[in-house]
Amino acid sequence: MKTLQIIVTIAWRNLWRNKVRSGVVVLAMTMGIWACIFLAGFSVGMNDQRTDSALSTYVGFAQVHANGWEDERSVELLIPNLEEVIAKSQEIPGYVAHASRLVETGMAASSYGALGVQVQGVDPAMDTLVYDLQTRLIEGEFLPESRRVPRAYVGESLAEELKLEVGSKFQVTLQDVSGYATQALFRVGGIFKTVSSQYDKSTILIRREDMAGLIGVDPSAAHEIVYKISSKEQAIVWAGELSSAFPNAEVMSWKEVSPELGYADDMMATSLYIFIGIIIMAISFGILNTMLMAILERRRELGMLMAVGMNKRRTFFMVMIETIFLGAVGAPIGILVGHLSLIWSGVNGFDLSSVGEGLNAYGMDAIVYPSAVPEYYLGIAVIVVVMTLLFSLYPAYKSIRLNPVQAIRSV
Amino acid sequence: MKSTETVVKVENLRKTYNADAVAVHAVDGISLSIEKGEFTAIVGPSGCGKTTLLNMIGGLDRPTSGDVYVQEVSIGSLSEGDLIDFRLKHIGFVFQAYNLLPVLSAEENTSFIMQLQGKSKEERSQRARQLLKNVGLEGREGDKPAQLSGGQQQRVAVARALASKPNFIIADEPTANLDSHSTSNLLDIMARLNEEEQMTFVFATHDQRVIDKAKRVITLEDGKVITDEIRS
Ligand SMILES: Nc1ncnc2c1ncn2[C@@H]1O[C@H](COP(=O)(O)OP(=O)(O)OP(=O)(O)O)[C@@H](O)[C@H]1O
Ligand SMILES: [Mg+2]
Repeated sequence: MKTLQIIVTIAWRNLWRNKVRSGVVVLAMTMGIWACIFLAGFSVGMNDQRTDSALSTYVGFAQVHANGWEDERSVELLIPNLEEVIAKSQEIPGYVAHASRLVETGMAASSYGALGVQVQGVDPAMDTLVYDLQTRLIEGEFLPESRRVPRAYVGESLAEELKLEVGSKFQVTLQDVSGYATQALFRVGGIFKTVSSQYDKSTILIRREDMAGLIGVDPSAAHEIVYKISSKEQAIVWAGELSSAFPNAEVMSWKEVSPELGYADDMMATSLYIFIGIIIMAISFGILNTMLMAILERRRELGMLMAVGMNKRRTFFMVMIETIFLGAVGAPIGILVGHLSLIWSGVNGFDLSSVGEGLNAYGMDAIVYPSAVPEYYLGIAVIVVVMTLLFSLYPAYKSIRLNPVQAIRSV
Repeated sequence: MKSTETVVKVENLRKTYNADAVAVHAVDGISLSIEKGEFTAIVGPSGCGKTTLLNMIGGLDRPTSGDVYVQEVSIGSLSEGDLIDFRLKHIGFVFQAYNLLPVLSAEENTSFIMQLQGKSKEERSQRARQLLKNVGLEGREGDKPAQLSGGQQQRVAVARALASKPNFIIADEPTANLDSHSTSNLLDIMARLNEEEQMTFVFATHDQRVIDKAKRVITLEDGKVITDEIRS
């Protein structure tokens, strides 16, 4: 199409005939896209933080249990062939670290009350390779060596509820493998606070050998292996592979352990795209208005073009291209500015501590680090082009409806 | 008697506007033919139907009845889309104003029409430059219309009209917005093109200077031809 080039040239130059008017529209598009991208980066950053802190405190990248654990969670469901599972799991690409644990639901009681808790028996050296609970310490120590009265690591909300301080004694009741209730006294060794107050209210960590003795299992036995894997995506592949190697163990990636973390991602993407679509549509009405004005101003010129032989297809195309230019020029600028502002604020972070208490209940940090969201840029560009294309149809249709005789006569 | 070639034939042409239920016969039964190489002025008082007649000859407007034949082709039989292509190939236009695209240079305005015709780049730029030279605008090829005087703009319009190698050029009041110097300059150029290249021009005009140059003068009144005078 030899004529394409000249038509595109005319459309592009027409765009800048009224610099202020076009500039305002381009600026509106730039700012709109900037806002969309910043919102996307903010939400994605917040969500990633939520997921990451869940993964690093109580979900892990993957977990292995004995078959039936998901339904029963009973104390005798120890993982069979533990050594073999661990050996195999280390061979699958993506493995970073693992920690074996004993886990049982029981009761914690002080003279101020009693609460249902999950008691986790952990090897401190191993566990810190997978989870970062030791970094959540706010008082005391993370599981020091056993003394006469063994030490426990207790969530802040639980400590408050039972009025415990570092050094206070309290009683833990569990069930042993024979089905009998068993009790022991623990001293609070340290108090922690994660981003999830729910977790802090219901979790006690003790040393694995203390727990093994209490429930009557071998100290090397485990109910659970938690894993650190190289990435969230790889964790899903990794879990699939391990699962097919050990059909009589329950192998779950983080997405199966905590499906709500994955849903949040999908839901957020959907609502962000709806929001972006609405913003860009609002701006497109401005584009429509600008183009209708431009066509009204240039009707004699358009009449002349049609009189001298520019056909309707070309005229239509010319107006359409100008409209799309008007919409599209601001998009790359908006994406660039949005990207840069995300990088800048991703380094500095956004302090939301004024509403931070509320956020904790949802498992979120008070300081949000927005992250760059290149996966959204193409989608935004496509929305801009599709939307302006749609909005270009009416001005283009208006322009070919002009009657050249009348347009020229109206001197 | 010299041999002639008819470029436009008009047969019993009528155009009736039904303004406010009172029928206005803007063109009221005109038959005439225009031969190659003519330099014709259509004259008459305001409202006599000059523009209406010219628009129908140029295939811009449809007659109420009768037909226009250009190169034996009945314009009335062409669809709207075909008519646009027909104008592109066969008819050159010079209007009173708004002839040029303000965003294109003089050369681009001239070569644009050839681009619509699908001519090659070399042919376009060579011909556009030659035509601008012919209308005395050598050196001004890169200027935008806003940088040119009204007379210069009309000369670009003439170059543009010639660029498509039309069968004839129609010009509705081409000098109405020009001072007398620019008018005589433009007329000289068109007369020279008429002499040297046998280009056919049909004007609608009030301008006595145009009428003085014309080889044929057709006078209209109330949509009818009153006199049709060929000068030697
Ligand atoms: N679109 C229209 N609707 C109704 N009447 C029209 C229309 N166009 C032209 N006319 C009428 O047709 C008649 C001829 O108009 P036309 O423009 O052809 O005259 P003209 O000879 O070109 O006049 P002028 O010298 O002023 O340009 C006039 O009475 C005019 O009012
Ligand atoms: Mg007129």
